[in-house]
Amino acid sequence: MEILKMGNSNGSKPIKTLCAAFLLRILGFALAAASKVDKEIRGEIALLPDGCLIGMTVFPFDRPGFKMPAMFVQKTSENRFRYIGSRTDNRNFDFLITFTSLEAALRVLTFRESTLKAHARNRFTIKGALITAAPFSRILNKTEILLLPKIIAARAVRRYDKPKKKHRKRICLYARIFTGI
Amino acid sequence: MDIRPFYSGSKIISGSGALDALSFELASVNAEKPLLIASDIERTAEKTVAKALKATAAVIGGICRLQSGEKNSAKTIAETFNRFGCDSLLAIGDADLINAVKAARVELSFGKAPAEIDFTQPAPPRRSVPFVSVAVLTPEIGPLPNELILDSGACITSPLFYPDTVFIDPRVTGKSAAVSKRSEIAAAASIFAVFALSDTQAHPAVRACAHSALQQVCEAIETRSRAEQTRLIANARFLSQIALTGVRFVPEIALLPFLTDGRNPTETLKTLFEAALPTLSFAKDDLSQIVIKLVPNNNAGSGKQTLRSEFETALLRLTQRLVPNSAAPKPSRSELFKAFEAVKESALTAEQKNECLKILQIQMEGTE
Repeated sequence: MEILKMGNSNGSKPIKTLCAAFLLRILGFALAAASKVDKEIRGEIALLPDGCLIGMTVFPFDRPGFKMPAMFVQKTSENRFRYIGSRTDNRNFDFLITFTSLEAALRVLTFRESTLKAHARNRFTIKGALITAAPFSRILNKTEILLLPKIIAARAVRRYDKPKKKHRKRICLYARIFTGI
Repeated sequence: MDIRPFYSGSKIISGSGALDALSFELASVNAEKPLLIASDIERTAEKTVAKALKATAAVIGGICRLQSGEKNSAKTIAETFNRFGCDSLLAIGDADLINAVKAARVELSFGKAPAEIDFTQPAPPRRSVPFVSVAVLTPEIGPLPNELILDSGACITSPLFYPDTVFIDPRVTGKSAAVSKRSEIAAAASIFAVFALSDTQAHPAVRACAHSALQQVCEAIETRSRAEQTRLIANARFLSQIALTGVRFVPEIALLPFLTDGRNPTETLKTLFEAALPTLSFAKDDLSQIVIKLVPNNNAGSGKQTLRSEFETALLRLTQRLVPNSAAPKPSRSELFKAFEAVKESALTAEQKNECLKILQIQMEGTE
């Protein structure tokens, strides 16, 4: 018999953390930009409660002294999303998606696994009302369709609905993401 | 009305990368400072689990390494748990270790030794001690997840003994100490799956698990990759365990008449299969395909032949181990082949197919 006393550990996966943080950041900017570019997305955002705070995090987001990637967006009065960043002091989330691990987050964010399949495989948990979840899921799908080529987007969404003036919107979306306007 | 309950009290997380969610699952059962209890021989598995915890900066309260067959291990675990101020149990190891952890959990939760508790009407526990288990490959099928073997040798069955969560990750099962005995484990899993199938009164979920266990064994025999074989056999072992928890008779007791009447192991195995198969009113076509695969094929190619013969030898060893009197005549390979032939012949008369899908369909749509 051997007994060892252990304490806090501080192991990390720097490369995976960086990748997930980068992808979440792009998604945050894309959501904000898409809400400016697409009328349909603005219509969906209108269904969300005012000042609605939405987050996507990787477990353990709240563990002291240990940072995991995250992304937060908030609804503005003009029915648009504002990208808050990767940290927020506000803990009153209206809708929070938490990936169970970094690996699970990377699978979903790199579209190796569709969102539905990932949910079925318990890769993330959702906290929030259905009234928020349903519009946000549609917003996410529409943003992914605008953001990604069809061959990749078709894997990420359940049904691929081609938006009107897709290419024009895509150019505007990328321009806004990279210029931050 | 025919009520057939089925209860498997553990959340099972299996598949490649299952351990990545270990920290998350521990948090979901309010486990913030687990005591890691591991078999002394499962050092590699222990390292993999510790690494998965460290990756998320999770706290490990302490590590308690136990040797196989160590006495008073439940008491040691309980003492270590209290000394380090842990709040949950995380176990990696063989059947003996899991049994000790179950006993320690009962002692910590109820404040009494398991032998002093009436499990038919247990009082509410004093505190909740979450118990998470990481499965390793072990040659023993029992004790089952809902069983606890006391020091006196008595076996208690209660839903209180189920671990809260079980992880089956190929990274751990593939590096278990008993990987070399995988053919023996496959043999045991398939025999016990047939036991579960023979209970016609069991819940349909029992049949689904037992059937799937047999399919996993057959796939393991067909595949050439060792890692894949280990993965499939680990699943088969676990599925047969779940199936057995829903069976109304205890397999060892069912075996007893065969063991005590002085028959040789081949006859035992043959009688066992023959007794089980006629009671199956379903999937005999499907089952026959499985049995055909299990039957040693003397004309098969060399790659598949290796595991087939390994499996055959393992069955031989298992049947010999089940017979308490070692003086019983050892069956030859041809005798064993004949036993399987008999099974195959009796299974070929069936009509129904795809029983597992049918069961799932019933589960989804409901029954009359």
